[in-house]
Amino acid sequence: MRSPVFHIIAIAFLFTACNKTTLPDIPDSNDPVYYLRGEVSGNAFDINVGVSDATIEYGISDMNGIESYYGQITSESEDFDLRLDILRSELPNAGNSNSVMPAQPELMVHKPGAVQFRFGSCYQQADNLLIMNEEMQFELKNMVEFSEFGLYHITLKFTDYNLKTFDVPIHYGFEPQLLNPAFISNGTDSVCQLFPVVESAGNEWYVNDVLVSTDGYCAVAMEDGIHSVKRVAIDAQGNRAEKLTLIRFSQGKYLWQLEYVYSNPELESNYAKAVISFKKNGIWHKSSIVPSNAGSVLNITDAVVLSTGMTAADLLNHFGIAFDVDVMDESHEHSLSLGGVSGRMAVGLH
Amino acid sequence: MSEEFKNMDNSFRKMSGEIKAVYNPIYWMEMESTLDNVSMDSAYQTAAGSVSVPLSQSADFSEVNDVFLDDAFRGAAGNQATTFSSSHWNEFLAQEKDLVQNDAFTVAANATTVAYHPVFWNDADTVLQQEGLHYEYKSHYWSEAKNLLDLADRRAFFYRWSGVASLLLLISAFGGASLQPETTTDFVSENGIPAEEIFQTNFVSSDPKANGEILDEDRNDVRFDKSDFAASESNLHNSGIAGQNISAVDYASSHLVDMSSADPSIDVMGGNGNPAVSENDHSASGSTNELSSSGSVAHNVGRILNHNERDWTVTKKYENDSRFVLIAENGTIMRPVQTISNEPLISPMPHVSIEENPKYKSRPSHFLSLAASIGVGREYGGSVLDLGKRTTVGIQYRRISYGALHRFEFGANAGVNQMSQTFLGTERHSSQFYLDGSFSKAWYKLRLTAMYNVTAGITAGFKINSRHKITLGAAYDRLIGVKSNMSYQLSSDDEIVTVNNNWGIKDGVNPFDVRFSFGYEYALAKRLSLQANASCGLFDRTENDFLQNTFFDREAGVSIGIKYDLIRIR
Repeated sequence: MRSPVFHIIAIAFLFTACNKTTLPDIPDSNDPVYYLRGEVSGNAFDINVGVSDATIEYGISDMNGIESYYGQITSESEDFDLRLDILRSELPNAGNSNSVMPAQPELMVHKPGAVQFRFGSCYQQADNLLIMNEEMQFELKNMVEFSEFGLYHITLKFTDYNLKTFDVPIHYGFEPQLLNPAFISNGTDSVCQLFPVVESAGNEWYVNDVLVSTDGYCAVAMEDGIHSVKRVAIDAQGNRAEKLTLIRFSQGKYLWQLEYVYSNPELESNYAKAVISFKKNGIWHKSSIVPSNAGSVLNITDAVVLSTGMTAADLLNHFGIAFDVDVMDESHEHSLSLGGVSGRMAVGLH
Repeated sequence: MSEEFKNMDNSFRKMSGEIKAVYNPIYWMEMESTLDNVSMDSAYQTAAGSVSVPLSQSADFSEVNDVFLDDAFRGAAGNQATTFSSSHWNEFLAQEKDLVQNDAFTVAANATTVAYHPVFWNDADTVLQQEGLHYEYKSHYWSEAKNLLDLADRRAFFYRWSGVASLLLLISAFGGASLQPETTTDFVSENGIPAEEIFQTNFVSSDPKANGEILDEDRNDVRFDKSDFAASESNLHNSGIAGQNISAVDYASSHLVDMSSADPSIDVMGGNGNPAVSENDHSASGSTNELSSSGSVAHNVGRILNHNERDWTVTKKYENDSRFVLIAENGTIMRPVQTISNEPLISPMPHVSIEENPKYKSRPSHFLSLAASIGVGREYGGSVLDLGKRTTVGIQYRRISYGALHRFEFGANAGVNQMSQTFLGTERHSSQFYLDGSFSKAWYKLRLTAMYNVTAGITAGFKINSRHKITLGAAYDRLIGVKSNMSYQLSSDDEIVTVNNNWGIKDGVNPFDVRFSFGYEYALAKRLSLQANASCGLFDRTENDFLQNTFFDREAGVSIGIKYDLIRIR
């Protein structure tokens, strides 16, 4: 027979040894931050990031060579994949962070065009110009056609100049206008003089990828041959715009500066325009190839740029959005209508 | 001093003076001691016959006859003379058979084993329980019996007697309601007149002065044993004989008449004032004289024990008396009641008030009992048809009243109860959505499996009879613990944690409630009772906000249990 003390201790042990886990502190739920609601060709959708399998992805990408800020909401279960690309601004550093994206970005709609290479008064030089085509073959021609806006790098070669190739950038639809890096040149006695078309707060002059001057006016000695000259115009906010072209000297004499002449000189800049892409049945449908979207805008509200906290450079811009847009696949055979779409999205800035 | 002794004394004095002998009382005492010596007397007579004493002329022997054969002796001899009558011998011959039969009957009675009859036993059992003398069951009896049974027999024994107990319980439960505690055993006289009617008539005194009391007509000494009073205490109040203060046992035993009483037709007590039959006689004989609790004697059934000549004579004398019904030991009515006499069979007795006697003053009884019950109750958070287990263990206190409230008892109880649950629980999910597009989900699932309460309440009971009782009660329940199982995940990156048999959560359960109960209790033995209870709560036992439902979870359940009296204080 155990003593009463034993029983008391046993009971006390029993009470204290029992598992006494309290209820976990579960925070209150908040509403999903990012979501999209609307219709796709009459079929309603309501996608909330964090609910079900809906996720959001954002970051920086490029569209035909032009930097774009994108955000993409995906839900496999709902067969929903919508991507928003906002092309970078021409002057992204405009003094405040909200300026990275206009309040109502216009939808970009591609237009076909061409650029012709001219050599000033040396017209015969065009007859010696070889341009690499899509099949990586050089063709003797002086004009390149584009179906979409973008930044294209054209490889040139001259038949009268040791078959050396040169890469020149063509900003089709994205020629700088607010910060013009264009420059003109002339020269004598193996000295080339470089003058900006529009002066800027800062300049950088590169000859054959070598920085030769940061002054507004630059005079640089050039040997005989074809030289790559680039000017980088810098405004007070640090925005940069560059122009690269070719200059040829022969026997100490200035011969020509390569000029880009677009077929549509009235072409507007496509900086800070937006493109909506919607994936249906595994095929991307884009707003940029639907001519009817030209002039349409996205309603952006309450845009906030913030750091995601991962690194100091991780910024995103989240905002409310509303739009009506038509999208079409690249074959131009299938189109969808996204109507009454609203919600909140985010795009990455860096 | 009588005349004879005076003459003898004078003769001795005269002889003493003539003989010149000194009288000494010692001589007389010696003589007295030897006077009863027969051999000495014979020797003396022989010696006296052989001796010739010459008479002296001077001696006066005229008064010798006065000395030895005086008038005193003659008178005494005359008084002692008896005459023999032949009738004595005839009387002896007439009673010889009775005497012989009496002796034989006594021997047979001593050798007789009393036949058991359940009817007698039930009533005796009831009375003994009321007296507190019932020790029908003791635990060591069971232990001894268990040791005597082998394992196989134990099982059969258990099932057999469990079945019997269940059957008895059912019979008791169904029959309890119809049982009238005043109902006596259905003894009916042979002429068809219920014995109750007979004795309701006979035992009510016709004397207006003694109406309602059983009194000795001659105000003789009437004494009662203490146990008689105790036993009668609970039966007197409903007696049909208003105000009587005599127990059924006493009353029944009082029909045995002592012949030495001056009026044997009236005096029901022994000549010495004590009942002619002891308690053992009328209880162990198996032929107890019945007296209903209403005071009417159902039957003066009983064997008149004729252990002596006088008792037998009584039997013989009253065998033609219609006021008596003689029943043999085997219960056979030996002679029916023929007529109903208006003459009171029982004479009025002196008024004896128990209440006025401090020795026998009634006092309430206090009981402290252990009680345990098991049952079913409604499941919370589910349909009313879903039942869960209920268990209660505790102690009960009750106070049995006396007097006008002797059928009522009041008490209190305290204990711990357990309420098992199956459907009671909840789950909570939380989603945290962040600006960077990430999200985290936290959740828990909680299942409350049992609730434990301490309970304290009051009860009131009403005794239908000695075995059946109904109770009403109210109790306050206070939650002391909740047993639960839980799983949770605090974020999408954390592991799922499961905690079973957890006692740390009381959320979602109302910490208190008030319950009302109605119960029935059946006394299995003196200390052991079977209880059945139904209870209903007052408040919602759960918090709907926490459990995210709209049920009004009122406690409701039924249970059966046992109660064992630990302590009884009078």
